[in-house]
Amino acid sequence: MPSKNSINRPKLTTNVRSKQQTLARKRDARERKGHFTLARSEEGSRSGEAKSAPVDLYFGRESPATRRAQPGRGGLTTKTLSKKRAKKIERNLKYAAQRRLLTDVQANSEGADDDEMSVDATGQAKAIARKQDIAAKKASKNSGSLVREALWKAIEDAGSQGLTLQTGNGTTLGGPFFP
Amino acid sequence: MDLAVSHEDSQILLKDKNVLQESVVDKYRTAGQITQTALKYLTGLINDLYHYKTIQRPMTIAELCLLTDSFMVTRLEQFYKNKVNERGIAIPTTIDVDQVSSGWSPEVDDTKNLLNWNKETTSPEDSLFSSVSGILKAGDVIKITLGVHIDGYTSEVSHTMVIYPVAVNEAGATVPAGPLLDVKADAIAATHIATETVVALLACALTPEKLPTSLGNVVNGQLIRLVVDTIARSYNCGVVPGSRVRRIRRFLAGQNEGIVAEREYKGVVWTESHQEAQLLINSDVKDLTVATSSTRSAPSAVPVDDFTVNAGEVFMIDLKIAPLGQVSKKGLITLEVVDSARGKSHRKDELVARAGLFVRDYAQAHALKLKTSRKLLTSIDNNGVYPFKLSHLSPNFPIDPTKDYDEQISALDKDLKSFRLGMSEIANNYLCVETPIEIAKWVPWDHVLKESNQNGALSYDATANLTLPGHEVPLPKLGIAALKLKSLVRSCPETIDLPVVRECTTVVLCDSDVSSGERPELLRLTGGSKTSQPSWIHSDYELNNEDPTVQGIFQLAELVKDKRFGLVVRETQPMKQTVSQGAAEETGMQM
Amino acid sequence: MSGVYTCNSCSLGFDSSQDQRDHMKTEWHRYNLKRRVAQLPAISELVFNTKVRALSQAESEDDARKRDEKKQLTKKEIRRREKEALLEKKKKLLALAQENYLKNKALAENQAQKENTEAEKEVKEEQTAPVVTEENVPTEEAAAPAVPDEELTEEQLAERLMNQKLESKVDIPLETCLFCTNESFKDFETNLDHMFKNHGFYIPEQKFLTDKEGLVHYLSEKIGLGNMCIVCNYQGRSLEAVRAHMLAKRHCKIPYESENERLEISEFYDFTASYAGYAENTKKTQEPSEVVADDGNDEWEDVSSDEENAEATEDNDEDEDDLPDEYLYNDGTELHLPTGVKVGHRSLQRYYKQNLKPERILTEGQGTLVAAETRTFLPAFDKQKYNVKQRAWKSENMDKKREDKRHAKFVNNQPYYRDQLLQ
Repeated sequence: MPSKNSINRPKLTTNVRSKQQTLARKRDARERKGHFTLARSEEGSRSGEAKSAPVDLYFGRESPATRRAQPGRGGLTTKTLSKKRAKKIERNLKYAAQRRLLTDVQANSEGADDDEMSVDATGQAKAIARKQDIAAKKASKNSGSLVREALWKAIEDAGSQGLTLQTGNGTTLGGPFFP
Repeated sequence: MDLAVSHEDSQILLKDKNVLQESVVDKYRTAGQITQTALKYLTGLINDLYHYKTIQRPMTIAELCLLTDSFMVTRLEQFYKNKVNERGIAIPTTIDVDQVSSGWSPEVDDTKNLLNWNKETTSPEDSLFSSVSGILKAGDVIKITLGVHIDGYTSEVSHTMVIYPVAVNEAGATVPAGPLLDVKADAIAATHIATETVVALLACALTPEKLPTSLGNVVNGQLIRLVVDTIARSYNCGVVPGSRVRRIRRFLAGQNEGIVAEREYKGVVWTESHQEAQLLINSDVKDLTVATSSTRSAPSAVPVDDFTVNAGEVFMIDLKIAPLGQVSKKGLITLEVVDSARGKSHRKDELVARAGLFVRDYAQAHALKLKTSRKLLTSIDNNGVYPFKLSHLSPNFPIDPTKDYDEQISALDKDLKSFRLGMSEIANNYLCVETPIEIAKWVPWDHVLKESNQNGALSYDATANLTLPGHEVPLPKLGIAALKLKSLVRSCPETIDLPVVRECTTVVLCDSDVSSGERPELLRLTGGSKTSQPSWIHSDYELNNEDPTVQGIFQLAELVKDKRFGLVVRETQPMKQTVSQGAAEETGMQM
Repeated sequence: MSGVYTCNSCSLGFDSSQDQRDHMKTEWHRYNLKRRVAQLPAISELVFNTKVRALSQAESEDDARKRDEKKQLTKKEIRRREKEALLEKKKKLLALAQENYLKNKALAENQAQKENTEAEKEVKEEQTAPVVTEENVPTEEAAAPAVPDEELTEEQLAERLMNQKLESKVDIPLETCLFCTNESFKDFETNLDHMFKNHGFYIPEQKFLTDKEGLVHYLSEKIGLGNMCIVCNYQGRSLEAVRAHMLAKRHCKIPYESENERLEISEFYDFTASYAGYAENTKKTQEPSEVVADDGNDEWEDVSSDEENAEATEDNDEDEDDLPDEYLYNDGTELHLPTGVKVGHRSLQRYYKQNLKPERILTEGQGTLVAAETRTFLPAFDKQKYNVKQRAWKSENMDKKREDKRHAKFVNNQPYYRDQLLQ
């Protein structure tokens, strides 16, 4: 280890640059392999959910990243699922079902008035809820179009002309003189 | 802003000085008399020029404005001399023809320029040509606006006149050839009736028990809007943005609207957003608030309709109404600011003119470079807080019509040259804001709906004209900003100009302690039957008696006519031309 | 005299080398060595001892005093002091002469000018002598070296000096030019005209001048009797010398700048007329009419630097500043002149030089608008807040740098790293 004042002390800039280059190279490689995660806004994005290749394999789901990277290849993957792992997943699912049953009972007993506090709101559930919120917001964003529609309706509505009346004698003001 | 007024001082200036007392009412009344006299003088001049034709020499609008301003100043000289610090013209005379909505007050040296600038764009057949040439023609609807203030107590007036083709009747007198039958007649009728009704409504604020039951039990902003909108709709007209029925206070008579975000604004204003809300009233869009809370000013500065009219206040009723008889579709009435720049982007029929009126913005401070500008700014600061014309700052103002007229005009011309040089620097640094010349435009709603984009609300118009706080976005529900609306108006081939009719009157709600009689009365400072009689018109429309609001309006008219039990409305009369020392000739006039 | 060991300079013999060495260290031997170098015969020890004793006695007498004076007073300083004292003396003499002249003049007027000039001189002499005796005390040192060989008292000395002066006095009549040698004219006015044209002899403030002959006579006495230049008070040896000096230096005018110079000739003037005019002036127009510009108070500056004052300074020669003192007072920071002009002290110069924007006084209308205004503008630049922010940025930067440094320490942390320099 060279000292702080050593003539051979490695220069910061070169190191940083090489580090960035390495990172970039790795990022490129991952993208080429299709390991790159989808944007959170994309439909297939499973952001917020636990990432697990074995679980995907267990359920036969193909990972969205692979699907995008190699569209024609279907569910082809190099990942394998061991027998032991499969057993574990099975067991966990069973426990999860039991837990959910328990919380349902609890919720019923408490009158189901506090959804927020439910223990079951795991990361996955939270993510789903958030997505629904966003969708609702997107719909409400189009309130401008709602106004627009209402305005179109008002324009085309001939009946909303108001109180104009042309049947009487009309109005005469002033007289034949210059005020 | 480096200026500040202490809390005590602001209490005195905003509250104590606005309490109606004998002396205050007297100042208001004197201001009203001078205003009425000046209006009478100008209408007399115009009648002599275009109807009786007793004045042979043609006079342009610029000259008429200058003469009337001089008249006002010379009249003001006789009152409250050395008794008050500030008195003067509250709004220089403007004469707006047809579609020009406000602000047309050219200087005397502008006449030639205007013809030159609009050489290619305006033909003599055009309705704008009267404005450009300064010579009126038969069929023109002209709006005269002027006002004076004494010690900040302001009276303003607007009146609409029609230039008629003349005929001679059996008695040998010169009379109009016939009533005006155009769509303009609808607007004149609507404006006249609306103004008188609002005056009666405000009189009801003094005695709320006399208010017709169909109109509710209290005079508030919503009621005023309802009444005006109903009358306008009945005559197939629309209220032009910029109309307002507002409380005025000492030195705060609406002359700085859009510049100063006035604390405790109280009044009904009409903007584009109100037309939008009116259309949406039957739809399922729930939130119809038109004013947004402005981030740049206090909440009380945002004009909203939630207010009650109280005794002891002074109100200005300034209504501009445009007829919609010539359009078949529903459309938006908006205002377009006349630009003084000429370029390739200008349309063929577009008016080119520069504003004649300026308002000082005291919040801005800047060290000016030119000596001319500094000198000019000093004289502007001495001039007061009201709008001014450059010619008012000249030592040759006011002109004396009895002396050599041409010589005075040329002397004024010379002064104006250096003033314009200084003014450009002052205006570029926002020390003064020019009062824009506005033209009423009609643009069909379908064009607005088709064209608008979503980002309109975010766009910012650097050239935006004066907007009230909270009303910066003209169409907030659609999200269309001023810049977008401007381009929409320009881009739509169906856009047309609308003639505008304007009536403005100032009224003082005197409670019984300051009224001349026993009962509380409404003192009408300007307008009324002596000076602001409507021109001879006939409209095919009339008010529908089945409508409960209209019934209330009829009842109000009855109440004003009833001398014993009705509303007391007194009008300030113009001074006799021969009497110089105006002993207040004021008679109880009933509407 | 025996022994192998000798001292040649003292011509002595010694028995042992020790003795000889001891001798060599004595002062006597050193003295004799010096004498030998100067080719003088050696002296015996006895003589040397007596010499030393005599010298040491003389030294001890004025040892401390003399050494001090000699060291501190340089020749230049001494000369300067002498000169000053002389000048002082001369001034006093002149003042005396002036006083006497005035007294005589008054006397002469009273006695209807019957006595001749010689009688006057005698009177003058009689009166001068006792006064001089009183006043001549401080001039003692300066007078002493002038006549070192004679033992005279100061009174006698002054008397003698005065006599010398009076003897050498040249009467310059009014019709004769003060500066040219023996140029006479037919009357006083033509003489004045000549002096004005040829020598620039200008009499200031002629409007208020009451005794023109007296003034010129006074000046002529100053030149003729005192042999003094009228401008710089140069003392010539003779009339010719002082005339040559005045012509050469162009000192042919009446100095009229400083307070003292004005006071010197103030007897011949009468300024009461100007006071009356001043009083009227101030009553009619409040405009300050003049500004004092005397060198005695030159550390005062004009505070109210308006155009009017600038104008006023230009025409200040008519009005005078010899106004009663009660109008003029000093309140510590400013000097209030009777004209209404305030003069500030130089120490506050930087504040007077500031060109501050005058405070704006709002009219009621403007005040109302400002009071009703609710617009909010960008907040003004707050230096304190900015400084806090800047400190935060600085510490942020420092943190970042430290992190980088620490990180870089382990960038090249290889297990078998060998430093190139240590190979």
